[in-house]
This record gives sequence, C-alpha cells and structure tokens, in this order.
Amino acid sequence: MRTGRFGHHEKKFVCWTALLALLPLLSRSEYVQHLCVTALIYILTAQGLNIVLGYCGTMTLGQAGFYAIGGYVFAIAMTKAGLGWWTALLAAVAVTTAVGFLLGAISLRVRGSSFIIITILFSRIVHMVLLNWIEMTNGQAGITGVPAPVLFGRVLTGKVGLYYFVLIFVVLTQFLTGRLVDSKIGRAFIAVKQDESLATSLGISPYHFSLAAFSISVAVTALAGVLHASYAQMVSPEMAGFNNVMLYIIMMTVVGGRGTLWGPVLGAFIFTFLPEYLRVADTLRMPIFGVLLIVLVLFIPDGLIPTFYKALRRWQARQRTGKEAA
Amino acid sequence: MFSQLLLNGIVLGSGYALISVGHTIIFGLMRVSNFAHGELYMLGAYLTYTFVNLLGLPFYAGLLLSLLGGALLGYLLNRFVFRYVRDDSTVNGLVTIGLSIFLTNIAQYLWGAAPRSIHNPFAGDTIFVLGAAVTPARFFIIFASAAAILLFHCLIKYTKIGKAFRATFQKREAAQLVGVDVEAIYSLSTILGTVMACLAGALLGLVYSLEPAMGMKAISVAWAVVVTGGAGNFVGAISVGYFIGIVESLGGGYISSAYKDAFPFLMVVIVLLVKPNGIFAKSGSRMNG
Repeated sequence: MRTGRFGHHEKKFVCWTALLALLPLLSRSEYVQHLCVTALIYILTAQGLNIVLGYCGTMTLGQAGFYAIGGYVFAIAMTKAGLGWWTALLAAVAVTTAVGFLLGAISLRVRGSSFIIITILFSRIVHMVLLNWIEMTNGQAGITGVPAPVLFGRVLTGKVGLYYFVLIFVVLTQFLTGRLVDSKIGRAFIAVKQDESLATSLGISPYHFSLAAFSISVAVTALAGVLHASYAQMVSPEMAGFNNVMLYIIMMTVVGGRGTLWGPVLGAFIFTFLPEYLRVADTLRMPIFGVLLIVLVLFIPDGLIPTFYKALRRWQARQRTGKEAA
Repeated sequence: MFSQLLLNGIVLGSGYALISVGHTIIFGLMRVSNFAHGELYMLGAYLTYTFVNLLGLPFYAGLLLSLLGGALLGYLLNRFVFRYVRDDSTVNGLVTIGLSIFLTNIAQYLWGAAPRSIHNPFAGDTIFVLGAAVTPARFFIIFASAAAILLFHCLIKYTKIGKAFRATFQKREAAQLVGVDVEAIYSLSTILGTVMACLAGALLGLVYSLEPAMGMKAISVAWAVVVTGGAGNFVGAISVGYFIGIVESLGGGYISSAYKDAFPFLMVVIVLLVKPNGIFAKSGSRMNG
C-alpha cells in the first residue's frame, strides 16, 4: 500500500520480484525447486483470498472449490475438447469466474457468517460433483495427462523453466492487484471492509463491491487451478478439499498478512515449506496446524508482514525521538 | 419405502434440530461463528462410545457422563476461547476453524480413523408403524430429542434464568443495566449449546457410525439450518432442522444417494433468493456475522 513516500511501493515490488526471480537458483535440488513452483501457484490462491478478505473484508471458505473448477475445466478443455493451452486457460478462468459471479450474486446479500457457510457448502458440492460425475471428471481417479505449458512452441518440462513461467503470471497478478488496490475500486473495497454503513452513505454499495472483489478473487484462484493442472499434469477431486487446500490458503493469507500485497507471498512460501519440515511428526501435523491457526489469529491477528511493519515503525520512531533527545 | 424414509428422516431431523438449536444459541447470542460445533457433536458420540463400549457402563450412565463432559467442555470453551473473540466474526471464525481441525485430529489420534458404532442397549422388538420399522433405538432418539427440546423451551420460557437469557439475547446492554450477569449467561449458553450438540451426537451415534470427520457434515447442516431459520431463532432452528432431516432422507432415497449432501445447499440458496434474512426472521433484522 502506498505510504506517501514516492517510490516506496515500487521499491518493494522490485525487491520482492528480484527475490522471487533469484530463488530457484539457490538450490540445485529438484525437490526444493518443485516446492518453489508449488509455492508460486499458492501465492495466487492466497492473493485471491486476500483480495476478497484482506481488502474487501468478506471472508470466504470456498476458494478450494474454484481452484478445483478452474483446474478441471482446463483439464477437460485440453484432454477432451482438444483446445490449445492458452484457449483452455481463458475458458477455464471465464467459466469459473462466471460460476463465482453467480454464486456471489445470489449469496452476497447476506455477508458475514451466512455467506461463509454458503461458500463452504459450495465447496462440498463441488467436491461431491467431481467425485460422482464420472463421465466428465473420472471420479476419484481424476484426469491425468494434462499437457504441460507450451511457450513459443517448446514444451516446458524443467522445473526451473516452469518456475519462471509461473513467475510471469505471479508478477503480473501482483502488479495488477497493486494497481487495483490503489485505484478507486480498491479504495471502495477498503471502505466496505472498514465501515459498511459509512461506505453506503457515501454511495458505495457493499453488495456490488463485495461481488466485484469476490469475482476477481475467483478469477485469480481459477488461474492458480489452471497452472496447477498444467504443472502437476493432473487434476483430482482433492483440489476442492478443505483440509488439503482451503486450510492452507487461509493460513497463508492470514499468517502472511491480510490486506497487504506481499503478505500472501510470504504466507505461501511459509506454508509450502513448513509442512515439509513437519513431515517428521506426520500424525501430529494437522493438530499442530489447528493450534497454530488459533494461536496466530489470537496473537498476531494482522499477520506477519503488518506486524513486522508496525514493529519497524515503532523502532524507527524510537530512533527519531532518541536523536531528538540527544 | 416412503414411510421408512420418512421415519429415518425424522430420526435424522431430531439430531439436526438439536445441533442447530445449540448452534443458534452460540451464534445468535454471542455472535460466535463456532465452526467447531460439529466437533462437539462428534465428541458427544465418541464420549458415549468410550463410556458404553470401552468402559462397559450402562447406556444411560454413559450418556449422562458424556453430557456432563460436554457441559464441562462448553464451560472451558467459553472461558478460554469464546470470551476473547466474541463479536468479531472473522477472528472467531478462524479460531474455531483451528479448534475444529485440532479436535478432529485429536479424535482420530485417540479413537482411530476406522468407523465405530455405539452398542445398542435397547433389547426389544421392532414394531412396524405404517410400514416403517421402528426400532427401539430410533424411538428413543425421537423421544429423547423432543424431550430435550421441550426441556430447553421450558427453561427459557418459565424460569428466572430463562428470562435473564432472553433479556441478554434481546439487548445485551439493557440486560446488563438491570443487573443480569451477562458473563454467566454466556457461560450458560455455551454449556447449553455444547450439551445439545453432544446429545445429538450420542443419539445419532446409536444408528449411524462414528468417524472422526463426522463433525464436518454436522456443522454444514447446522449452519444451513441457522442461516435458513434465522440466527438466534429457535423455532426456525427446530423446524428447519427436522425439515432438512426429512428432505435429506427422502431425497437420498428417491433422487440420489450420492448427492444427498447437496440438499442443504439447495435449501439455503433457495431461501436466500426469497428471504435473505431467513424464513422465520422478522423483517429488517440483518444476519451479518
């Protein structure tokens, strides 16, 4: 978010992008590189949630459902309908966003907990449909053989190449989200989040702007689903699962920092790498996550990045008063 | 087949009504989006299983003990978790989600992931009513839930505590002004809500199998019922609870068993299109979390 100092926002953008660009070169292990690509894809899902929750204040637990729909539409478009990679991408994002828009249009009349439930139920339905509509979705087995991305006629297979390919999408999304937040629309989102009645009195309709934020977040999540489908080269009903997808997205956004542009990035990396290190205590992994979520929400409700900046500002202020007193 | 499905639906609906009443108390009164409510249902079932199957206690003793356990759990939940996160829907939602995950996995750790069932204590013949086989267990479930709901109704309507409860429900600050100990009421509500959920779990555990993840279905239904019936609306919670049990049973039997979980969702969507505040809510009351 802009702090009024010229170039600060841009400086952060360049720093983060440079960091992300250098990341895969730090390790030669294909496994670590795989984790990096996975984290990149999750950045998109976390950012999606961040747009609707962090900036617009609408909590939703249905992102996994849209992630799955995006992936599946893409997979079906490529394997069954024979569309090209980019056409399939557009189709998947378009279809998923349409579904999301429809859901939001009906359900956003009641924001708050009621809306959350609907998104949860929606995800469960998606999961159910993916398991049972065998002709289209192959049921439990999922759809395999989804083609990898093709760039300038070359199929990308190397992890590093795929990383940079996905990185393009991530950087683009970050850039657009940053611009969105700074625009009038973004400011309207924040107004709706902070005080609905006040926003309404200013002529900002919470319903319409929440719907817009929700639709945008669905589109971004669908993109993530498509990239996952193409990277993993398969889709399965577990993509709509709460425990293996939605929970991680929540933690990435909440722990990383809601309402910040780079919080989801940090969160995505933390929650892609952390579970790998927790593999030692595999049975306890989920309870630990549960406790972690509780503790973090209670003690660092804003997430790591905002808490870091708050601490930084306090330190800077102390430095300044220290200099004045001297 | 219809009467059998209807009976099963009423049994299921009894459980759903109990869970939903508990949920609407906690959500309606304290504005806590308790996503762990399904796990309380699950724990009620597993506690009864522990007392009856594993420790060999007679059924009624086991049931009573699990309800007491539930009451204790409710008290602790309020004291150490809800107290700090009331009224902020996003925060308390996230905290209870964390709690839900924690409890589900602890249950899996303690009792294992394989499905269990509670020993059926009711020796007795099945009687046939209009073509439906009414086992003693099913009869007990319907009867016990109705009794619990009736008891709750009497508590709310005819006792002094019930009056204090209603007052806090209607207008918290006004209740405080006239000397109602609001913290005690919150404690009581959480305990009541939890006990209802535990009872539902113990009862439905007589006819359905127990799994650590059973809370997920329960909470989805509870939420659907509360959203449709109106937050804090007891009549709504009870009637929609029974309704959805019946619809799920009939729908599962006649239309599709694989998609029977879709019925709560459809119900919610339809109701929201027509009456965004819930079927029974008075017009003008918002249902924002």
